[in-house]
Amino acid sequence: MTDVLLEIKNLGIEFKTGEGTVQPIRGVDFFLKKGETLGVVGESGSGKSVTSLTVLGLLPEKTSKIVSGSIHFEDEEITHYSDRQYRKLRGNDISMIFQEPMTSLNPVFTIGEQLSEPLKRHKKMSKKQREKAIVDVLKQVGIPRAEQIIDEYPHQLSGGMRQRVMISLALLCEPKLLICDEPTTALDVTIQAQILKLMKQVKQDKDMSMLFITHDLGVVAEMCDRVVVMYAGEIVEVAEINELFDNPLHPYTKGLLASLPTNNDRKSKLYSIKGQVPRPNEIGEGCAFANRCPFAFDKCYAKTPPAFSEGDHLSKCWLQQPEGR
Amino acid sequence: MNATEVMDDQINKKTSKVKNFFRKLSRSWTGMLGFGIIVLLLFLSIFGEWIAPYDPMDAPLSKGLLPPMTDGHILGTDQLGRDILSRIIVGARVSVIIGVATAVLAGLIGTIVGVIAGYFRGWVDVVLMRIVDVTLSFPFILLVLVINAIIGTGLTNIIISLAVAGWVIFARVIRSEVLALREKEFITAAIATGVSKFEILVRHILPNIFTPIIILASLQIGTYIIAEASVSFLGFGVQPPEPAWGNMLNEGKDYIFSSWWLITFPGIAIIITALGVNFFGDWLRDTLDPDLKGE
Repeated sequence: MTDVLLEIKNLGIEFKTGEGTVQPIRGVDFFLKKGETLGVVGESGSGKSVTSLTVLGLLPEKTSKIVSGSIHFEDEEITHYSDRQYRKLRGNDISMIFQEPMTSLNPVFTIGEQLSEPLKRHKKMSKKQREKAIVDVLKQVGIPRAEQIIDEYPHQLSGGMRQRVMISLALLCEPKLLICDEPTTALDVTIQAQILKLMKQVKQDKDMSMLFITHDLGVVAEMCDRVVVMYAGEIVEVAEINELFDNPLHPYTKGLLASLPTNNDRKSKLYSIKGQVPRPNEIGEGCAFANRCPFAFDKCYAKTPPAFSEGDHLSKCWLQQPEGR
Repeated sequence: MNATEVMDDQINKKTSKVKNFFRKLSRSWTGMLGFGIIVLLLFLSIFGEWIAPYDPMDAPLSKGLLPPMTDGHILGTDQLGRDILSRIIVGARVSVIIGVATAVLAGLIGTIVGVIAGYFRGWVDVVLMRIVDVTLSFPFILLVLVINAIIGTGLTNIIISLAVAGWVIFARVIRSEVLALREKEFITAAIATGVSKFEILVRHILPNIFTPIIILASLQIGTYIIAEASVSFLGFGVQPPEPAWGNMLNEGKDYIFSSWWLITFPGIAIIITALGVNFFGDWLRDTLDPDLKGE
């Protein structure tokens, strides 16, 4: 399979905590094709960010461990990479955009200094070439007076500007894969729309693949080709974007969609899924969503459902078992 | 932009930095006072020997214990007839050297230990911090005296003793700064662009703790000057006849009831110096601390 850029198979991660170990990620499987934008959706605590950090090898070494599975990037297994091999990957082949633009830039360096970091590391360029490349990329992401901004410090920029700088930082080495961990959550809605539009355009221009992590289904609809829905450290549903919105199979996805506010009819109350995501140490046998699921029956509590597929549409729910209940 | 313009630009940047410093300094009278005292102190420690009206070691015994303002001795003379003003002026050098050298040495050791403990954590952290705890559990002066008694007196040894007893405060503060920094998102972001651990430490964490190091060092200098005076007063440290404020106090204490000026003026010199350094350190903290500065 040459058109698959990133493939995660049966990934399981273990965290050491004060009260023993927990598994925030269990049996996660998905793949990302070249040029595709894959959305990863889920509530807080569903394991979206942990998954993305794992791809870059950014989990804390002392307290976390990959207990099962593999991650293939360009047909190469990367979970066993050494620190040195990872460093070659980071910022060069795979870049990441973080959630908080306000804290993701080092306050003591100018924008220019920060942006020259990945270039110094991964590309052989003279100082002049670097400066030109930086100004170019800053202009690409729509920063006015790019020549002056490179001499300014992060605190002199607004949140939207800083996120643009973060995006340009991620784009500098023209990575094959861009991981975006809720890149617009900390921004207000108008800026959010601008940034999303910008990212979409940049992705097309550079022919990158994107792993887009968010809890916002509206953003997913805007950005993604395919969607992975995660719940409590597991994937519960994978589908094409239109298929997911038109024909959600898993009760959790249905709940998420129902809880979106709509323009057309003003409901007096927003729908919410009852209960909370279980903590990783509370998950036992059976479907993790069963205790919040309106359709749960005996089997759901007894046995963890496998993935049932209907073409490209996967869902982990006993309701989808072909022979019915 | 041609070459000269570029140069002009750089010069302008430099002068505007200096200007900015004085503009900020002029807003606080304590900062100005502290800065003035430090400048005076530095001046005395460099040019003291030429400014002093008399040779500080010259002891005409017939002129012993003259009160202030007699016979051309503004602050009087001590039991050996040495001019007290001259001895205070020349003694400033000892205080400055000890204050600055100790702060640099203690700051260096403390920063290295603090950064290693804070960044690498684990058993290294546990071992280093227990050493710090044990050291901190001794009274500072007592520890300095013990070390000084072991390694001997003299200027170099007093600096070493003060630094060995004093680095722990730096280590504590720096460790906690590093602990807070390493969890910051920009550090993760830097790792995500492929920066190695060592470079994270040197290029991203060190510049961020520079401010607390400078502030702490400037505040500690006052402590070290007083500690040196105390140690010299107790007969360790800088040995007579070399003029130092602390041993002037020590020598003058026998005459405290008959000739008050022997111990009053060096005492005042110590107080002014400690106050000045602390004023300046406080001002520096208020100016550099981003939490207080406001954006």
